[in-house]
Amino acid sequence: MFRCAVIPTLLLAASAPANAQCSSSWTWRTLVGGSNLSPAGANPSYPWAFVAAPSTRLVEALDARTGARPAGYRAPTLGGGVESYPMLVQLSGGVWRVFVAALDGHVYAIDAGTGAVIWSADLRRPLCASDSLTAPPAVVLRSVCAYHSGCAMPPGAAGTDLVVIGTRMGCGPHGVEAAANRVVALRADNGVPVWMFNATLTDHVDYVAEGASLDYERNRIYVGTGRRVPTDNSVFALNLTTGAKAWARNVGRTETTPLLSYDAALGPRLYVATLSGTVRALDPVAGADVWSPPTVSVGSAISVNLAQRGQSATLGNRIFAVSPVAGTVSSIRDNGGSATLLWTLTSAANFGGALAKSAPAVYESSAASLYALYAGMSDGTLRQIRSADATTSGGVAVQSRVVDPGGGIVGDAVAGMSQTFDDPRLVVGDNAGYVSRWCIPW
Amino acid sequence: MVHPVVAPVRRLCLALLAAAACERPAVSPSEPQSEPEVDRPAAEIASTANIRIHEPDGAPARTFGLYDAGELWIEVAWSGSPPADRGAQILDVYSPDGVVYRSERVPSGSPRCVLPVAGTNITRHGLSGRWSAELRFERGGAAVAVAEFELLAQSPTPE
Repeated sequence: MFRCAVIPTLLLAASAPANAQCSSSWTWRTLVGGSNLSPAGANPSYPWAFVAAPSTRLVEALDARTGARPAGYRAPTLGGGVESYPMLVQLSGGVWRVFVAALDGHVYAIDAGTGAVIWSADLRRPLCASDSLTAPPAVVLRSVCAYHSGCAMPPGAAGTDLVVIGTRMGCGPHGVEAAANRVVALRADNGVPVWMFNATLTDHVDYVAEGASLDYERNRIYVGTGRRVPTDNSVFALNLTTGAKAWARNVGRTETTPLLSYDAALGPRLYVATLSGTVRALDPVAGADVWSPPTVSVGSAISVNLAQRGQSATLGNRIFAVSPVAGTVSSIRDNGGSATLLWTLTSAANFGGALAKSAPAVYESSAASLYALYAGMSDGTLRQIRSADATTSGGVAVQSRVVDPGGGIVGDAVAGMSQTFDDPRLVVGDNAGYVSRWCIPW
Repeated sequence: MVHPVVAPVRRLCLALLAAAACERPAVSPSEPQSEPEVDRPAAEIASTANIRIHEPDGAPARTFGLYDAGELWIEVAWSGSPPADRGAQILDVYSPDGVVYRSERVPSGSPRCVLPVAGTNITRHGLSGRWSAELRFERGGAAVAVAEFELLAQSPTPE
């Protein structure tokens, strides 16, 4: 991701200066085909962004400066479409890889410079060709693990990193299996399995829609699941070394990545959003509720990942949630032992009838003392939302840019300050098959 | 894939159901379509295709709950033999804003394509509304069958 390590911003204002160099149009816009609603796979230290789509089966690279397809990179054709984002990562050994999970049930490791497929791993069961993968892979880096005294790489991953992914098994009586899913860890260098959670089906695990959350400090991996059987668990904390279950909770059906927070003032948090429209904070150590009452409701299903802005002792945590069906954007403040719904921007009142459809992307700049939130909409626009952190939506400013002149749905944006280049930038795809880059903030 | 230039036109067409103005010939949902521009033997012209959409354990339907449907099976049924000289059958699935969301080659043995719903960008981004599935041949651009279906926006699921 473009997101950098951001120094918490203490001074925030809706009237903070915009970037005077930004025009009202995109820096570049490139047609790649397919439905590009997932975020691009990007990293502030790598000059290219990677995109994939459900229909194209290609993993395309685009030069983040120009939008051109880089010479020397040949887009690999996968055995299935992609419903998540390509995970671009620099492995502990220094090489850059793109890990992609496809609907054909395979995880692909791709050379980020050439597009060559280094390995692929088939996670389908032998008798079910319908098993698939819709969650993106997460990558545990041994170089990062080594910095944490409590972290221990699996013995089977000696000398390499770990690719972790949840499954979407497909041969249940109603299609997608409600109980037989797994979380699998593969060696990053060759795709050989290291461990598998729920290999013997001792737990009821529904489909995994989004990526795992990594907790090097506590040697844990957190995964949210669909949970269509009301009594089943839906958040699982796994031991990073072995894949063994540390704890599990039934918090309702979730299709998002549990959001891990390291806030020093508030303590550790695992924020979980549900299709019930609630957000709750769990203690990552034991899975207990942190807030009383335990949840905050935004009123409509939260099906895209939560976002968080930098924390400060005076302002507390801000968590942003988008409900794509209702089209709303909400801000929640974590008060410590409780939480407050600060504001909800609605289609009718704030977006001119358009619906917010994408995961919120947060851009923060300590130098400019500002932050902005970006959301793709149903009307072909991207909205920039800036807030003075007022407790009502009265202090929120919304601006708009046209991403798709055809008025189609705009997908998840990736925003941040590049470490390679000195300009803030945002990359976003749309349902019409284009990827565009924008100068921010406006 | 619909060319991006024609995608907005297609959106308009879908919205107005004014198929005569579209880049594709007019077809009625779930009804077969003949293609008069090509001379074929009478037996071949009589072959027609139908598209049925259902959940794995359900009857064919036109509406499905956005969060209820784990996946949809899109099945192609021919009355007679499909033309043998037009290449593979391709099933294009269009999202409510009129662009191709998935495009799959229909297997010849079991003519069925699976559209994953739960846990995909369909549920993630709340792509409720009127979808369509169109069957065409690899060699020959016109749709030979179309079926529309609707994914209904739902209230939040119970916790």
